[in-house]
Amino acid sequence: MSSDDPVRVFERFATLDAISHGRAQVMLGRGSFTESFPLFGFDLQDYEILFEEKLALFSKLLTEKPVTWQGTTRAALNDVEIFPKTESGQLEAYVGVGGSPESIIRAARYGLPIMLAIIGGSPERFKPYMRLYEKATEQLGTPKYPIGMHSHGVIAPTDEAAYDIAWRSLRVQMDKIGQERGWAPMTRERFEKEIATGSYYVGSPTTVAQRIARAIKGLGVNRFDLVYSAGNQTPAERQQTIELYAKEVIPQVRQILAEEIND
Amino acid sequence: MTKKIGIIGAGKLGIVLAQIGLQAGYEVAIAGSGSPEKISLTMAVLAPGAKAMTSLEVAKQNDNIILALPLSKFAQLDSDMFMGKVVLDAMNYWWEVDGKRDDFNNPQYGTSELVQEYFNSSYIVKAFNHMGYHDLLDESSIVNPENSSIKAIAVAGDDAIAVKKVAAIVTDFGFNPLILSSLHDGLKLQPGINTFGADLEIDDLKIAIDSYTDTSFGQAIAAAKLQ
Ligand SMILES: NC(=O)c1ccc[n+]([C@@H]2O[C@H](COP(=O)([O-])OP(=O)(O)OC[C@H]3O[C@@H](n4cnc5c(N)ncnc54)[C@H](OP(=O)(O)O)[C@@H]3O)[C@@H](O)[C@H]2O)c1
Repeated sequence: MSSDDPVRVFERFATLDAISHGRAQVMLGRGSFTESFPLFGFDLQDYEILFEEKLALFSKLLTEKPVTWQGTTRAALNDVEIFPKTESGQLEAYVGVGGSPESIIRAARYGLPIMLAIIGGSPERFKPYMRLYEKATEQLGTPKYPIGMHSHGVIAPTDEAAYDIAWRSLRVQMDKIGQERGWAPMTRERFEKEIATGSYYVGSPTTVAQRIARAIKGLGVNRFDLVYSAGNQTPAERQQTIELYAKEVIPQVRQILAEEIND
Repeated sequence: MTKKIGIIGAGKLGIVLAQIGLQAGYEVAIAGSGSPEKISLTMAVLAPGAKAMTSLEVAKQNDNIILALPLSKFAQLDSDMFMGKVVLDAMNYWWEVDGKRDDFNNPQYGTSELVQEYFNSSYIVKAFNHMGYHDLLDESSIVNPENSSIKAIAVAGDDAIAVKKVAAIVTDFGFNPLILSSLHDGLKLQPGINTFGADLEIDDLKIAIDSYTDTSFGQAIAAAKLQ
């Protein structure tokens, strides 16, 4: 959101919400890529203030009441109504957070739920950040929402087929980002560790369902989002992931979690 | 006597090093850019026991201090406060945070050498820079004694005594120190070299360092040496 305009973001998502019968959800982020800053005339030096101000304004817009706001990153608003309104009166919005404690406390301060962006390593690493969110909401007296997470994945009929797609798409994309930042390329060992116990949900529907259920339980999150689009996958491969996720993985995850509750 | 460590920078890396230090039985003092109150909740939850204070106090109260703030910010610190101290430089050039800086990407002169130039009365030793913060926490054998192997952290400095002290800290923190011959050699641990991001055992880290010319930045370092 740092290089977008909060009012426009709200207008667009409220419109989407209307078209989709209330299914729009906004994930707000500071942005981990920087191209959009020069593209829209923002200075990367203002990274912090841009997000802070825009999140403050956006959290006011979410009330769907007349908004009065003043800051340094856009024109002030004085008792302005923003349209369209949503049918439910509450557009669903989350703040995406990585490993920065500041971001978590900020989300708690604005009374917004968080989505943990977990892109590598064991998901349990994020447990302390969940505790931080809970403690922060308690201290600030803001609502404590269920926490969600997102990670990358590829689903195919067999583990081998999914592995092959991920090796040439997800890994290559990660290496490309890494190269821009000076990281060494990912080893096969590392890649396999991510699949086995880390943050790549790659495999057959059953494999992926078991991994997701384990992550949900291990962390105690209430929501899991699969990022299915990494790298140079064909549209057919992406569709395959979406279809298997919806038809097979989600029901299996629900079943595993239900069984364990009954146990 | 309890060992002490000071950490300047209370972000992703600073917090992880505080957690490891506490686990290793150190008394940990930590500072962000602002007041201690700003980081007190974070510390209470993520690294309970670490003392939040100002960077001035951290420097005053500790002989061994880790710099875990953005590289472009070190000159905001008062170098006199670090006189005679061992300063572990864990900082890297990250252009998205630091902006485009040619001086931070110079194959002739490492960023730790720039830090040494600024803190000219301190002993700068490069350490804990090449491993990602999550990996540091997972791989520390102090935090996770059940790990099947001990990973290596490269240590580069010019003062033999300071290097020895830092190697001892690295060991206390649950890693094998791999000592390079000089602070200048720390260039081989910078972004753009295959060691950057390395989460390896000592022999493999050695190999990665020795093959630093595999990347174009490494070739530029080698070419600069010949001049
Ligand atoms: N992240 C990693 O995995 C990793 C691994 C190895 C090395 N490093 C290096 O470690 C350094 C920190 O990285 P990070 O990822 O931890 O960044 P980060 O999460 O953004 O944290 C940076 C910290 O430095 C503080 N800071 C900024 N200016 C300061 C000042 N003048 N005095 C005292 N504290 C100041 C910030 O405080 P405020 O929030 O109050 O501004 C913040 O607590 C960087 O040089 C990075 O290259 C990072």
